[in-house]
Amino acid sequence: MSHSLHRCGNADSFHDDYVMLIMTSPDRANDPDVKGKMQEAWDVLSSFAADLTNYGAVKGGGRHRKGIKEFKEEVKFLIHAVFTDRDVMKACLKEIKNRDLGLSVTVSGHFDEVKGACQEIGLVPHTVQYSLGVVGKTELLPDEKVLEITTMCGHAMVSPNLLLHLVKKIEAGKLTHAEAALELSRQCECGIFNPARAERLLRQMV
Amino acid sequence: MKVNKEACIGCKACHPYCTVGAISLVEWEGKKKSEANQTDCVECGACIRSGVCPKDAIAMPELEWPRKLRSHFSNPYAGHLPAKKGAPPAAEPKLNEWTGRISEGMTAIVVEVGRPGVSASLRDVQKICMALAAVGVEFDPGSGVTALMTDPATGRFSDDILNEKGLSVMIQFSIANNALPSVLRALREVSSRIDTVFSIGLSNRLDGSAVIPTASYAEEAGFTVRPHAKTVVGLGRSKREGE
Repeated sequence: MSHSLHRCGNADSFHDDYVMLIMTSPDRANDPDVKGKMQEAWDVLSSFAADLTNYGAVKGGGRHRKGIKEFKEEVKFLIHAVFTDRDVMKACLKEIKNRDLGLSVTVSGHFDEVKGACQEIGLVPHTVQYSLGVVGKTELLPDEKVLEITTMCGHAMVSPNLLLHLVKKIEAGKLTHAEAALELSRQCECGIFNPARAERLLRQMV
Repeated sequence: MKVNKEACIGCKACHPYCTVGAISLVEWEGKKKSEANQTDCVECGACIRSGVCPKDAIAMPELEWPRKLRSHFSNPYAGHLPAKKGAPPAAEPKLNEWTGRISEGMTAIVVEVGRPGVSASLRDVQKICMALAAVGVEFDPGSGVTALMTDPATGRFSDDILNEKGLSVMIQFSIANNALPSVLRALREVSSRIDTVFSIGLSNRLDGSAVIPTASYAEEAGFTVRPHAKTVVGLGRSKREGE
């Protein structure tokens, strides 16, 4: 599944949302040399840990479940990291480039911003995947504001009903915006949900 | 998913966590108990993983064919549906630095039926596949959905699976860039004949200018290119090149 591709929102909505995917060819995940490279990638990410709003691996849960050290020891073939700042994402990308790990890196975000960041550090983007949005019986979809949050989990594990349930709890003073964002993020099994962006969007809703 | 009604206390804690709103209260031996509607449930496992049931009353039974297709299309832990043995890897953009399957002049397309969060029946997926086959689409042999087809030339599935469903059923194929208008027209047309939604993703190899080569085709066909995209930044090295 194209996990982070179909995130909803207008161009302004993505200023704090950059998902980095670092991977090796799946059939080489247990190659000793590649394992070392993946662990080195986690080392790079750990130096930016304070600026990561989420991280994880496919089927490994996000930062709510494990720390970077534990993910590093697991050595899966794929790493996710979510940045809220373009320049921090660029700095991390530059460090990975400088280390010449040979791993493939994909960055999801506003295309022009990601392209610009690549060009500023001398990278030539190789391939792009872009979205034409949703067609069909769109009256079945929830409100766009709801989708802006729920589509941050590409597996659709963050249900619109849960979001509305948590909004009611915020309104009732039983939950803070940050707590609600974390509860939403907890449902995402790959660590690509952006709780910081969710919190910002929740504040616009209630 | 099945709720053990003897253990369930009818607290409704699990209800909002269901990705498709399939859990509701029913009368059972004079008490209110939760139940997952088996027609709507996509076997995604979100209710169990949420861990909110105070009585551990939710369980996933051993799924049999064809119902287990639901978990393949919905549960992140179930894994993708396997492709046919010996098929090349699907034309995925994130693997393109290694596979090179998305070459210049070609567009890889993934139509994710049921996404975002609506779910879709394989009956509707078949309608879309048949509409695509009718305009000459050859489905990606590396895709599990292609492996389900009884005849990839027509896009048909066997009748016994048509009532199964999933949160996101991915139809994958590649076409020459100049075939994009007819494919997008077919997708637009079939979108009015289904009871669900689908999301469309297009992938292209970029040249040094990093201008998306097919964006104009999509816009001419009446689609809006979303600002958000996935960019493979050009750092991947194949084993051959790296050694």
